[in-house]
Amino acid sequence: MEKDIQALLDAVSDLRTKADVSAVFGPPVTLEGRTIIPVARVAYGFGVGDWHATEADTEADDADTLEPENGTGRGGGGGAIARPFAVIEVTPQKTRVEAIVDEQKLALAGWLLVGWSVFWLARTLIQIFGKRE
Amino acid sequence: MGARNRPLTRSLGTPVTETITGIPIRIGERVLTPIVHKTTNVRRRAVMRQGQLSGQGWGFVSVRPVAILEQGPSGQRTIPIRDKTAQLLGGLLLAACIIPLLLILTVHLIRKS
Repeated sequence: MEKDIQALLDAVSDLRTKADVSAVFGPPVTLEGRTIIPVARVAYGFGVGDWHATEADTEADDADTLEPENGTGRGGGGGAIARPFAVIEVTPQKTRVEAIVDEQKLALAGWLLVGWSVFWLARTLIQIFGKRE
Repeated sequence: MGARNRPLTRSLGTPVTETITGIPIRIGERVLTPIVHKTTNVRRRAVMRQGQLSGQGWGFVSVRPVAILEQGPSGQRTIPIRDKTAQLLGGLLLAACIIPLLLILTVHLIRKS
């Protein structure tokens, strides 16, 4: 039982070393004398839990009484995200990095800024003209 | 944690960022070595209670490209890979801070005059 949990926790610790550079830099693609290397930003998260009970908790009180006397429970979950970050273009003359802009995120931020600016402008106009009246 | 709970093992990690270089990519006469920043935070805990044993673990890993090291006949140079989206968002955030300040200053000047 302790071994199971130890193995689970060791597996969680190992995930720290699993992600490497190959997850970020894609394989080079050569086309018409140019080589393109796609670059992404990668992130992932996870969570796991394991519970064992082998004997009745005779000293249980209040919340502990809700737990079953014996059994096993195990669960976990996780998610990952990969976002295009840049493209490296290699030509016989030079190597250059072309950044990829997340237009959707920028458009959302732009609209928020417009709303924010309109709010402050309206507030300013009310303050100026409200005073004169 | 009560006196009846006995922690077996506990690792309350703080985020760790390390710089890692990848496998060099050879393209013609040039060799490109990718460089990334890897940020990880892993927490794990095991608790022994009377007749019960439980373990939990969670964490996240983020890998961000930083630069590419180019080695060729003309020498060696580091080409940074910048997060243009973050830079532009930073500019918008700065504008969002400056606009109210300018308008407050305008109101102040108008009232003063």
